[in-house]
Amino acid sequence: MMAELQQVRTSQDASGLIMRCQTGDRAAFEELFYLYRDDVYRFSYLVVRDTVLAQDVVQEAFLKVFRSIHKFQFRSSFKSWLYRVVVNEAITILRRRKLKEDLDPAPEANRTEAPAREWQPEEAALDSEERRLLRWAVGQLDPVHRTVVVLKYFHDFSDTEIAAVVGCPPGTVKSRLHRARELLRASMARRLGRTDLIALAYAQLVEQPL
Amino acid sequence: MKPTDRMIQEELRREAANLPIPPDMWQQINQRLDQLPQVVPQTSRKRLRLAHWRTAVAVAAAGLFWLTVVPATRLADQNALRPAVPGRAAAAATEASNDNSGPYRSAPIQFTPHPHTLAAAAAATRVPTPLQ
Repeated sequence: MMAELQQVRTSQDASGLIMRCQTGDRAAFEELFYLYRDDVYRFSYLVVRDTVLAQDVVQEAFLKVFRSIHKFQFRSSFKSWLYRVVVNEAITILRRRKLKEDLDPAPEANRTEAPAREWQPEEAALDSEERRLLRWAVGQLDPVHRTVVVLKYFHDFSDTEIAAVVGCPPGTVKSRLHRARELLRASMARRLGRTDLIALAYAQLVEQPL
Repeated sequence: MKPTDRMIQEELRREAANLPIPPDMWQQINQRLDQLPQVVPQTSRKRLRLAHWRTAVAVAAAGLFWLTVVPATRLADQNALRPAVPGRAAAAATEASNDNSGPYRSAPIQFTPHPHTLAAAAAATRVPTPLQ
């Protein structure tokens, strides 16, 4: 109930701001930016899995929004429209990075991932094995599937809303979500199997008499 | 192992909650906005100006309509009611009294009979006298 009220309030606030932005009001645009900044940045990070890239996505997306907000005609929700811009920007940036990685053979050093997603020993005490594995598996999904997973589970978007954001029919969203869950399960099982094998090999190595 | 919906949701939200938001994002965007050519505001102002013009033209058209077409229609209605041929008003009055449902049913119709009509009526009502 509170979340719905908050959403209604946000959309009402946004409508006034959007109309002011459409006349080129920079102060209104700053307010609009702060209204959506946290959600958009977190969403971008969950999709691109890199803090610097996520900042780039937010920056480019909001610049694009500023340039084309006069075309927004309140026929759909502003949030869907905004996330559509953000998703397109994230996919474009990921494609550009992949192209760069293909040309440059040492890309991993340039990555700036948030520390929370790494497999770190101190996390092991806090997190269960399953959760860490799941976090890793989400990172292994391709951007298209990761986008629908994040929109569905992080933002609680309905299938129709996701369809509006990613620009495909709701049926395709359903099948992408199903496929994403299957991919998550498969990569977690694969990782677990490999970990089990390493643990077994290590145990055998330790147990060997010197 | 099959991850449940709840597990995925909790994990994504936990990961996002631990993420610090960079404080200087707006400054960077603001700098980029300063470098942008002022296309958007100009476009918006142009659209606004166009919208104002459209409204003004619509109001002027409505005013013109009210000043010309509406009085002309009223005048046409009045002309339709006015007797052009002698005796027509009498027929219209009879018709109106028979059919009491028209828009002019409550309007009393004033007419003056033409002298020819009066003469004809007198001739019709005259009692024939025996042949002398």
